[in-house]
Amino acid sequence: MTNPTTIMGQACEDVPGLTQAALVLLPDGLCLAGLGAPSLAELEPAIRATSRCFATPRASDAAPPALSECVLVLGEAMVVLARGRRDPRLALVVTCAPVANLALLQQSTRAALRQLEDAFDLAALGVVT
Amino acid sequence: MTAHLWRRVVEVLRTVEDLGPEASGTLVLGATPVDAIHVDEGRICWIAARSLKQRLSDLLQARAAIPDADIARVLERCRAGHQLLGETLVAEGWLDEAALDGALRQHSAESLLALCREPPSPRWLPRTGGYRPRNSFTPIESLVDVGALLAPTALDRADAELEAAWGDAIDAAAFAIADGGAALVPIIAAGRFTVATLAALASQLGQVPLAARELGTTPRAAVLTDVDGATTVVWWRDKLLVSASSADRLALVNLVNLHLAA
Repeated sequence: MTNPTTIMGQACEDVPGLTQAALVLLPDGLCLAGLGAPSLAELEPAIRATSRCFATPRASDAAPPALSECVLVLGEAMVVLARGRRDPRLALVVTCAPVANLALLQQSTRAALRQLEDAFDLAALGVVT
Repeated sequence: MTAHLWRRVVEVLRTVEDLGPEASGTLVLGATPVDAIHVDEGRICWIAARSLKQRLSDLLQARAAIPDADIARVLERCRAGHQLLGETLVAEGWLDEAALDGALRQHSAESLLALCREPPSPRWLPRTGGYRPRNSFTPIESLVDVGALLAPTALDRADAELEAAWGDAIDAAAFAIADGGAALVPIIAAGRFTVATLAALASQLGQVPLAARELGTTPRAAVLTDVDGATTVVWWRDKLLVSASSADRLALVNLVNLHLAA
């Protein structure tokens, strides 16, 4: 398998203004690959936010449809949390500079996640279904 | 406010909602039939709690432009003639219809909250012919009335925030963030909500403030997409969370741009 950081770099190259990214295994919040941070500790808040965002809501018979994506607009950055369509155990979190075109940011993040879903074979990594 | 109290309120009002639009009767919540929700054709006409028996008179008097001496006379007449105080005050011009409706809704919200302090055990007693009430309200109206009672200071701010989202095609709601994020309590709901859909939305949105807290900041706004492709725009003001969703993409884009430009 190619270096995970290289795969991340290639998958996320079209995300505008990207500063950091992490591929997260849900629900545990394990980081499978990271980008733009010298250490995992720096990615930790974004990884925890991803786990929180896609946690299963409290059991209720009025259960809402699960979230597949969340874009957080912060003052100095935008954070996109996206959950895998094909494999919902995978989630991508990207942090980038504020962009005016939100649709472009969403589309490029979804495209990156699709590539990562293709590249990361969870069974080969020993992740039990 | 505790999250479990709020959950009981939601469960009771969902029970009323599930009775359907034809249902008339009494949903008894306590050990005696006095503690109950009276329903007429699916709408709530009255929620009574023994512990708040005198409270409606106080609420009506507070809203009516009536001197103490006159209210005493009206009360006496109502007792003697078995008339309802609120309707008598309206008939005699001491109170307008909107003030009566407001008092009844506040009283019902307070009563529901009192009834839910203990786990309720609902029993449905149908009534043929219904109650034919002068005033009635929907379960969703009752839900936001209870929410507004629990977070009164957030109400004015919520009104102002929702002004930006008003539109025929938009379902908008404002929630007070309670118990450190453990519960989102709806205080305004505008659009096609039911108790069930608003509770589901609160459950879905509840994850977002927790995620934002992990990042150590409060976002200006968030754009959420669910697995069905529905989009919801969310924004925060202190302990208030406002949401707007619509099938009209342009309406949502305009709303997002408003927050991106802020």
